[in-house]
Amino acid sequence: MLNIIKISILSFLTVAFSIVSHCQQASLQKLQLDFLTTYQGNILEFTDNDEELDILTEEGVQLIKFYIGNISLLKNGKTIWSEGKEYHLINSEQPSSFNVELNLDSTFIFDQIDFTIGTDSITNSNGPIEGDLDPINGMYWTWNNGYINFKIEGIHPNSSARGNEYQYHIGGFIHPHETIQYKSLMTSKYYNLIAVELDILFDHIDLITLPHIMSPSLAAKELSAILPNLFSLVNE
Amino acid sequence: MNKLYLVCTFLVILFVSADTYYYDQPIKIDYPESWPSPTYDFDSNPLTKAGVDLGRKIFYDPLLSKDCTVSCANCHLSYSAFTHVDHRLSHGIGDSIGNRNSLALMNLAWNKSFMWDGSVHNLDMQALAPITDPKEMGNSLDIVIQRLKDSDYYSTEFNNIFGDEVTVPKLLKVLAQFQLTLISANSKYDQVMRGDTAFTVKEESGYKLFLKHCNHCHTEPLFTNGDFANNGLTPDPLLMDLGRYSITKDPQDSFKFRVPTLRNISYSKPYMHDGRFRSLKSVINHYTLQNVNATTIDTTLKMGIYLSKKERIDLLAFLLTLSDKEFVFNQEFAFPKG
Repeated sequence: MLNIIKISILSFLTVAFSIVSHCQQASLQKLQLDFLTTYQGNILEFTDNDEELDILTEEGVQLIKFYIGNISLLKNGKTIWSEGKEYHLINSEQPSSFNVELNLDSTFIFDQIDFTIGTDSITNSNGPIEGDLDPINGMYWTWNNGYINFKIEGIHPNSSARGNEYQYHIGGFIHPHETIQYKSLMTSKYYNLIAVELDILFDHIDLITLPHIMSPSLAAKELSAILPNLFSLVNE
Repeated sequence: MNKLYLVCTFLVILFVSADTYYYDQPIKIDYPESWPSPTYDFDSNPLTKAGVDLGRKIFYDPLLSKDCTVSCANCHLSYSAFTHVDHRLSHGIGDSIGNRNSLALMNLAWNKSFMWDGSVHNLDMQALAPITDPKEMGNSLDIVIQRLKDSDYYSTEFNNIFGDEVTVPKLLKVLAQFQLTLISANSKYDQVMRGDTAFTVKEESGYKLFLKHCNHCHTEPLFTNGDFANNGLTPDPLLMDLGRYSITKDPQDSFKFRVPTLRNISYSKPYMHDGRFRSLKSVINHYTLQNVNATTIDTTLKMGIYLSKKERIDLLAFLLTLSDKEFVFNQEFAFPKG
């Protein structure tokens, strides 16, 4: 009889704990940043099919990769939550990466989301890091240690390079070639659709005189200053 | 029967413990107390016996290269202080000739940067450059990782060490672990400093000359200040190597190259970033006989160094005391057997 009582109590506690756990899980908030690249009025469609990776989009963009990180929530200009020095690689070769989801351990009332476009200098100087910062992702300069913060490649009729190609590898963290940038979005929503308007980037590029940027430089730094302007909320 | 069962159980436990111990056994590098503390962050990549052994195996394995013909050891041979002896410029796959002489590898935990132009800031990341350079190993990282995954031995070892499958960061860490064990600290110079022996008259005279003229850049006990300097070499018109400038884009860094260590200098010819000097005599002559006129030349060399013939011989005698036979012939660093 005593054993039956013990088993019953144990079962009850197990079920009760599961219910409480599930309720806690259900109340966790999910912050979502969904990125959408646009160019010439079109949303760029990318594929993760290996056989189609080299194919250009209709707009001539072959590849776009960039890091966003240190996502923070602010209220009245003060940070109320931050993921810290975490970085997410938005990678056209992995379309699922365009959706960044963060599980928050609490509910926050905020009016601003901040993030970096690119990686900080300490991350650049550190040893190898797994995940999105793994050098295997093709965003790390092997010949000059440091991350490429924003990479775009493709073909454009105005490019003076061979085959009308263009390649912009924007990176660098050592002064005076720092290229990390900061973006603030005024929003109180947990789901945010963010457009990355490449037209703004190309308005500032001279494809005739500068079809390539392949290393840290003042040109890379100047172009990086434009990057925050590319990002805007779609679902305001 | 019970006794046999107990003995077998004991042996199994012993075997498993030994196996676990091997994978967890920490390694601490040994260096003289008089040396400064290493700059490498060992907390980020703690050395273990298994990690060092695995790194050593991979260091000597040509599977890192595109055509499986070139390993790290091709350009960094243990018997020549881990440099590419007798090669002005290193060569890689398909006999392609690179642009620089390979640097000797030793005492890397004290380096502030790596490569002749300081382009690498962290030892853990250094291997990326030669693995992917088309004139060195010419490979891509995903092919390297796939090869390691396809190898039963390597995939098992990485899993045993890291509890997970091989990735680029893990590969880089074990390579760094092996290289961090390459400590050279038992040359005659070191023995003299410890009081175990004494310089000869020539060597003592050479040491005094060294302290007066060379120590500014080749600072003891590591025999490098870890900095970059223009030592007045006329640029090779075919290579037109701008050195540190190619990284910083600062004109003041034009033709500056890292100050290499002079330890084991007798084993690591030829000398300079482009291997132009085949002998130490030529190096000393460069510093002592030539009038050097370059805009960014190091201030200590602007007026030249004037040494008599005898003084040059004495200086050479001292430099030879920096040879560490124990280091270059250490079988723990050589090609792994078995």
